[in-house]
Amino acid sequence: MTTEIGKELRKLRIDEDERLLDMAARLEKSSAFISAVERGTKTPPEGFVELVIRVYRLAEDAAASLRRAADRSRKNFTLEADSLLARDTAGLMARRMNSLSEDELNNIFQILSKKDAK
Amino acid sequence: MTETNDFIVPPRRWAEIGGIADNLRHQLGQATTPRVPVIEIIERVLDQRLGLVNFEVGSHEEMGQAEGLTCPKGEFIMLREDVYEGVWTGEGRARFTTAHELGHWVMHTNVPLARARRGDGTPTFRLAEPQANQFAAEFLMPECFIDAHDDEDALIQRFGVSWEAARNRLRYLHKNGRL
Repeated sequence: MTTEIGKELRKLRIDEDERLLDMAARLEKSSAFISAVERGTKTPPEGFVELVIRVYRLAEDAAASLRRAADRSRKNFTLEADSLLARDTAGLMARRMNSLSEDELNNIFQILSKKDAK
Repeated sequence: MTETNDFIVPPRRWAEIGGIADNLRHQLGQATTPRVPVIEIIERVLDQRLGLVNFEVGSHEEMGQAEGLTCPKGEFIMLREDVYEGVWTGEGRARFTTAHELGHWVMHTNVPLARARRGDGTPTFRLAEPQANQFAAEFLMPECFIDAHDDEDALIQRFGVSWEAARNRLRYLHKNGRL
């Protein structure tokens, strides 16, 4: 009953032949924290995935799949909007998010994925 | 464990539990090793190599008084953070707790469990906690490595256990005429 990020993190650890203790030391977290993320009882905080990618020097593919797994395990996303226009836009997006159809979401995802790949 | 809550499990003779512990040591190639690497067995072998169990670590907030926890279905073994760190540094008490959880995993998963309380008249050979303690003692301190001249310090050196565990083991063996 774990999360996608939990599964990916555990897989990475076992591929690296590390104990919970070893991964905890490398990431400077407690072993209970690493275990909780693996089990899916804790959602990793902002920046955790990037820390894993950096410390384990993950190649682009592996990094992308870890980021995707992390996104899929999240329900809440935090946006820092630092201008008036950004705040208006973020608010609009947040309100519209749950009323978008599957097709519309797909469409937006395609547009943003292309932009991301550049 | 100071807990008074326990579970009624299928009855086992103490000698039978000794046999289970010995078998497991044999299967794991540890028959001739006095100081058995108990956490390596769980985390490195049963989890990482064999995929038979998920090894997990819990915080104090999650686990409270419980130092270890074994899933009744056998899916995971969890140790409290301090116990986990202690066992990897070879601390005697943590080694015993770890072996105790291994005992639950070996003997008490996928069996019928009924609630009981320590001292409610249920004989100890039918209770999960005393059975797991006996397993831990047999697994960490096999009789074949102990003789009549040994004292607590000898056992502590040989097996990496606490003074209390060593004393209990010697008492048990003397009382039953095994030394």
